[in-house]
Amino acid sequence: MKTKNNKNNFYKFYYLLLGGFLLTQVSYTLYQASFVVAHGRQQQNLKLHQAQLTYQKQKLEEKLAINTSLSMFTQKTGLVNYQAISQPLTIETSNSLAALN
Amino acid sequence: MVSKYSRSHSTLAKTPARNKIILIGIYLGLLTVLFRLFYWQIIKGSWLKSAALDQYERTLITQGQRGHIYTNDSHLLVGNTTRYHLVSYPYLLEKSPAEISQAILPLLLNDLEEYKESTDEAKKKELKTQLAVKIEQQLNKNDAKWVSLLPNLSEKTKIDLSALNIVGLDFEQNMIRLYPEASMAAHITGFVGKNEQGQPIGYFGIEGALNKELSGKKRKTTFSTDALGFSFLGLNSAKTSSTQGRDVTLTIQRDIQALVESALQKGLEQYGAKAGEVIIINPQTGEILALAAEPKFDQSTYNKFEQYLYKNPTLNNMFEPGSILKILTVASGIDSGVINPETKCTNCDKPRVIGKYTIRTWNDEYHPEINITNALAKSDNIAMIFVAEKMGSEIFKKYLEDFGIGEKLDIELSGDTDTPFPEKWGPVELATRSFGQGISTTSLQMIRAVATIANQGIMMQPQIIKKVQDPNEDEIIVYPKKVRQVISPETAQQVTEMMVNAAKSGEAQWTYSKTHSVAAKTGTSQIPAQKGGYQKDATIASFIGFAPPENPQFLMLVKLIEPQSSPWAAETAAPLWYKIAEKLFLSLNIPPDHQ
Repeated sequence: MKTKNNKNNFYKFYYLLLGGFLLTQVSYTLYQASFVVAHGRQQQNLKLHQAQLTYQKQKLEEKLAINTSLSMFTQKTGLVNYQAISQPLTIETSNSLAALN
Repeated sequence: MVSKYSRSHSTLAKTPARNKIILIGIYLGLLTVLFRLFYWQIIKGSWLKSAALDQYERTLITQGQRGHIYTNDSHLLVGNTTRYHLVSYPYLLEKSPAEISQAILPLLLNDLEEYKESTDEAKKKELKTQLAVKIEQQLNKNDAKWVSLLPNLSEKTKIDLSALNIVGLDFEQNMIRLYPEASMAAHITGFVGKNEQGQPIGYFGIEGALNKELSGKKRKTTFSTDALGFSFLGLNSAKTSSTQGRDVTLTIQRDIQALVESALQKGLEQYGAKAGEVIIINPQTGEILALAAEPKFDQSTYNKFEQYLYKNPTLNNMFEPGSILKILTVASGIDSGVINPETKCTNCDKPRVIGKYTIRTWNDEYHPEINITNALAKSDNIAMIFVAEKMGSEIFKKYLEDFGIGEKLDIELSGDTDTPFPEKWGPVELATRSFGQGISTTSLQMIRAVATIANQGIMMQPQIIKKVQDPNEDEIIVYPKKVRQVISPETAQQVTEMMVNAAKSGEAQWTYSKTHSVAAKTGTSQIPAQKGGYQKDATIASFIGFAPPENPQFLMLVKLIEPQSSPWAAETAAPLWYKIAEKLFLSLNIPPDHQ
């Protein structure tokens, strides 16, 4: 009778150990998977954010190029206010005392 | 009496047969499973694998943007912008096509170029009606899953349309080329069109020549998806490199290019010319600072222009250079040692008769015993024949070939190729070619040849690309490239001095710079007629020169086709040259050398 009880206890212990081991494995796998999913989502969000920033950058570059283009400059600036010069302006420098006064 | 043992015996006797049947059944079952496993895993294995991958893996193909084109001073010449294509799924519509059309029409008209440009109210009304009818027709196609309503919409229109919240309307995004400087440098940039498969492809200019470098790369990305098709494990692609095409920086400067284009347009109006070209190059490096040709096209609306306008005339159109070729004749004569600047022409006192042809000077004035320096200034045809005959056709031909006449430029522009070089060199041909008739070249070949003289006799390869930049890697800088030494530095120096004299005392002396020394030469050439001979009263006026003569910072060619105000270069191309040069002196910080 005692031998039978010992045998039952042994089986209980064996299945308990097996169950515990399996439970640990399943939990650990789920834990790992959650990281993979979270990482995937994070990566996806970052990619989306990067795409948005790239788009914004492109829009700003486009705006900058248009606003600094010569055609825009001509539109914004009243060129009638400027007088065309026929020859280069030269500034002569002198070290003489008279020139300094 | 049957004992318990006898029963047991009878049971034992029956068991083997039943067990056998059960065992056979089990074995047969296992064998069936084995066969099925073999069938599914070996025979159908690859199909199942791909079917499974199809279920939980998605492939995304992304096309990178086309590279940008910048000027040397870092201004964007060609970029990219987003446009939207309004589409509809008719089976999803909740409102009637008429209602939708009425709601979206005022917004769509903001992006209809023809409508915006028109000032005629009746035409505007007609365009509005046409668009409304088209939209309603498209929306009424109930059998279609997808219909196109209007492409090329701006972002503002897209936002305004989205705000209407009309179910069944959608937008497709696409990239098109952006030209912040409008049609500037159209012949250099070329344009982007579509190939037979509807894919964007560059044509002409830089877009055509560097299409592969500029094109965005395709990238295939695979990712795992859930039952609804959404990615849940992130992207599997390990690649993070950019798919964008390479950016190209040109050697042209925006301010000089704008100056040249504006001056050329005004010049064409002022002198009534049919067409014109201006090229400015740095002779010491071969870098092209500006290149303009008229008439030109607009890259963004290229399909509205005649196809012949797409070609770069400075690269593709051949012309007889006329008197500007005399610079090369004189340089060849001096370098070969048959003449020097002071050599006197011994047969310049009258027209020359060669075979059945009588050759005259351009003004029918003759200068006995004229030296070569003055002969160049007076553009004396007879003196040039004298020089060519002293050299002989073999030497003269070799020099012209060394100067690159007929030779491709090796420039990164679509359409660069060798041009025909004359093979027959009889006495008449030698005589006429000495003053630039009976031989054809292109403007870029001619400017490369004269740049050789400005650069101590060293020919530099004309260059339009400054650098090519990969989004991920280092930039590739294109350095100036020496082609060959054509004439000695001493000869180049002597010819330069002769050109200064020609500019000061030649036909165009009236327009000579008041502040800067210039080495230059006029050229008025006739245009060959289709039936042989030359067209009457039709000329090509050209003026080529560089400054400052002792350390040239720029070399410019101005060419006007069939000017009406005067056929002579001295009265058309030369004043235009000086008008541009005056501004170049300021722009390139070239100090005056005389007052």
